[in-house]
Amino acid sequence: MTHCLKIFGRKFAIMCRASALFALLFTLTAQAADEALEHCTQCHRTFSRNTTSLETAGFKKDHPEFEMQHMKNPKGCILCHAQSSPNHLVALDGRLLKVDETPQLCGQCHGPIFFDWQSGLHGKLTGKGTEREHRLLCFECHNPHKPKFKIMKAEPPPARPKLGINTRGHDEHN
Amino acid sequence: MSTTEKPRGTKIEKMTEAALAAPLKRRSFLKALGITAAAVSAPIGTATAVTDKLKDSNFWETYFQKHYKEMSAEDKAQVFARIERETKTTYGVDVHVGDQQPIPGVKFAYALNLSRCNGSRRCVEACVIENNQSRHEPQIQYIKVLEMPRGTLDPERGDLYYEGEAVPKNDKFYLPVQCNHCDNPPCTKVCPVEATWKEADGIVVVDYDWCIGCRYCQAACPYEARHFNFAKPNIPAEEINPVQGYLSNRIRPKGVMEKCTFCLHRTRNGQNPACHDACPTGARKFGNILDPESELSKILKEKRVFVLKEELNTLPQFFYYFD
Repeated sequence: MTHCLKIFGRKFAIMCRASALFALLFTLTAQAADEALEHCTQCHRTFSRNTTSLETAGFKKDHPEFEMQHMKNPKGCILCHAQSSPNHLVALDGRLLKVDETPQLCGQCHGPIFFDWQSGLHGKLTGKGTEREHRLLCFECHNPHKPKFKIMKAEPPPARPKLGINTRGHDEHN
Repeated sequence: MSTTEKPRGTKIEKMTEAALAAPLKRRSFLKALGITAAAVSAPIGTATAVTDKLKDSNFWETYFQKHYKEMSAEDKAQVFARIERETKTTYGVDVHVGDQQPIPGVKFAYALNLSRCNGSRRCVEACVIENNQSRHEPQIQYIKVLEMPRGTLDPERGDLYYEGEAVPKNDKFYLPVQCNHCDNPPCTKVCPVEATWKEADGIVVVDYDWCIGCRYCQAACPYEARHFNFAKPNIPAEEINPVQGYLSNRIRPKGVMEKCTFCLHRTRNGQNPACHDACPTGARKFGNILDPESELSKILKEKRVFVLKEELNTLPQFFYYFD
């Protein structure tokens, strides 16, 4: 962020931040996620390598708008984001992954859920009957930086039945 | 004995007299007088109302309508056209009433992941809109989401009327209950006129025009899945779903039973039920239990599923599981 300010000026920095914020606060389609990562590359040619926590990586200082509530102590961005090419993700064995291969990335830790997702047991299914239009990817429902589902407001409860004898007479029913 | 009986008898007599005297208060007397006066002053109007009714072809068609299973294709076309006509005159909405048939080799079942359900009642809302349920007076909702305390699965200990400013709440889980489409349904057995039955694809349906509204099935159902139309349904005309099925979501007349039909007008056309598509967390799974490749069959194989009130031997086709 500070680099953005230095190099491109304030306006561009705000634009960068806004687009990335939009991308990361809401759940995304694969195309939108791809575009969001493209925005990262406009400032980041590489991610910082020698990090022990998000503080030392400068993440919390430069991007205070991103809430990171995923792992207890993530060791910087490059655990999931490819260090050398910020528009790719990286598996633990160093393989570069595209955005639509995210389930393989998440499945490294969340094995049972990954297998459930593969066989269609985890996640919302779209499409008709057994002909699935598209199997939703992890980030289409979960924010990758804050994967727990948001607290929701429930629809109003049903009306309580009126108990006791109806004193208003029967004609009101018709 | 006789000494104790005598005063009690007189007391009851007094109470009866008081009760009989009560409706003859001034107000009710005047009301009755008003009604009589209105009836006397407009005898011609009432007579035309009756003759209009007798001249109304819809009235006679409804009267001589056959049971759904006995209808020929022409009968069905006539009946569906009449229902469409009636909806047009009553609500001013053009609807299409379809006759969706069971798909051979398909038996529907439902599975619900209680670990994922967050009690947001989105399914209830979607169901009400999809199935043209009465919004208020009477309010009819096929799905009941119960907020359960820890340590029990007894639906009677659940809270149906919980307020959900922020769900899921700590130390609660949510148990949505709707028609279980039992393989051994107690509701269809008690129907004196066979207005309700189980279809070939496992869906328990009601012929609303054949139903006499005795509510035996409501008493027989252990899941409180059946609902009675005490009054003409209140649905805003702009919210009426025009895609309707004779056995599912067409607007029900007053005085008949209704229930969840697994949205058969959708599911028999290859779609998923409205509650399934509305679920924000993907807790609901719907599918063909006869297809070993369907997600539903995989859930039944791999997850530890259970049903509600299994001791009643109703063989529900609505399964629950935690994972």
